[in-house]
Amino acid sequence: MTVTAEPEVVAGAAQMDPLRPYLARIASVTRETSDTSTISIELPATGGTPHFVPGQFSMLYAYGVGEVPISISGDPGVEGRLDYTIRSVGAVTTALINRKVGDYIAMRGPFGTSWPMEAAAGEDVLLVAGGIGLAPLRPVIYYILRNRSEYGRLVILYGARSPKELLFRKELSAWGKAPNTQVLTTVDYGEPSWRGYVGVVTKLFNFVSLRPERTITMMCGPEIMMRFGIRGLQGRKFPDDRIYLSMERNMKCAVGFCGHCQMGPYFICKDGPVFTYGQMRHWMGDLREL
Amino acid sequence: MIGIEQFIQYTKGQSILEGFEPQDLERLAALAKEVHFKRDQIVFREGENHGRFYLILDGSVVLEITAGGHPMSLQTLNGGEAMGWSSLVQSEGGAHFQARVISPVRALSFDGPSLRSTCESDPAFGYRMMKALLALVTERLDASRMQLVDMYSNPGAARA
Repeated sequence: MTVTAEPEVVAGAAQMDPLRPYLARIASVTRETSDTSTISIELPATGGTPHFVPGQFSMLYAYGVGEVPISISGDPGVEGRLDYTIRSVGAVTTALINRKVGDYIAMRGPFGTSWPMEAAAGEDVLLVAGGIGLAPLRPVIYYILRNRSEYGRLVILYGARSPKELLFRKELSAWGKAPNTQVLTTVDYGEPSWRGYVGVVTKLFNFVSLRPERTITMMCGPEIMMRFGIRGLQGRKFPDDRIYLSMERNMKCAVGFCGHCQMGPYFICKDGPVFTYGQMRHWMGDLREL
Repeated sequence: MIGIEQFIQYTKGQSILEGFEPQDLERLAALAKEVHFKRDQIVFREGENHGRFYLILDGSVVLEITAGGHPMSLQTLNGGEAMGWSSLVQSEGGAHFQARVISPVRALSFDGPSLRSTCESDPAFGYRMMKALLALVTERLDASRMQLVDMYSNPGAARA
């Protein structure tokens, strides 16, 4: 795309009209796997005010193609940049990850609720991610590692289809070496050279020792995985209201007007995407979308 | 055969033995033999009638199947898990998978036919053994179903 006039770039969530798309320049594109890339967009400095809180998402617009909700996957402590890890699953996401450095897209947001970073302070934290679901949890990991003394043990359980589809492999290895941090990965199918776990992510529960009453769990991944994950946690006596989920539904307006993402009494865009399992208990598995 | 005290100590983490009575553990201890496998050693091959049931104490094994001439890993088994369960329910027919060691394994090995005949001669023990086996098979079936669903492809998500 060619832009001749000086673009009006995003200025930080507090000053933005949530229904108006703002131009955003792509500062970098990083290929993560064969179908997934992380794009970074530049933002003006805010003087220390975070651009987002872990768990939030933006609506990203590829000109002439369409708009999609994408979770922010970068470090909330880094100013002047927002990262989005996007898997190509359709026309818009493919158009977004095929943009080049210097191209412009449009964005609205950030929107939505955050992971419970305050409630988790002083507690052990269990992160359970499947596939692209590690991306919305990555800001949590950055945040905890940046504020390490405020949290107890950090355990990251991550499952993907195959070793080639594991996201952020170098970072996973680095996170596993951080103090009081354990990272376990598993894949559904491995090649002979793969020496890690093979099997579903919920099986990794067998290899960690956590105190359910002192642990906050944050889970993100396909809904089927989360349902099995919750079952596994309940079997280990993790209380429902200490299990947090990031829900996904088809979003359009992102501000609770259109109702596309309604799930029971909740609008995923406005009341979520992060909920406790206690809130979602009656609605998970109900696959109807309005 | 290993002593009952040693058997109890070795099998502390084995969830498969949770519902067993003390006399059951004595029967199992009488049939158990401690075995060790080195990294990359094949415990049994696909199609092989190895006739043994294992309780893994330490280490890891990967179950593989050959597809298109290449082995594909389907599941890893670790300390506290069992393998070779088909040797308890069938006298003929080989293993469905190949088991390859990925980190050195210490295990208790049981002769399948001997364990099966113990189950037949003591139906109460046999019932508890089959109940434990069914729980194990159910867990494996659930895991296989989840893998078959290919859940990370996120079938519920919008294709945008």
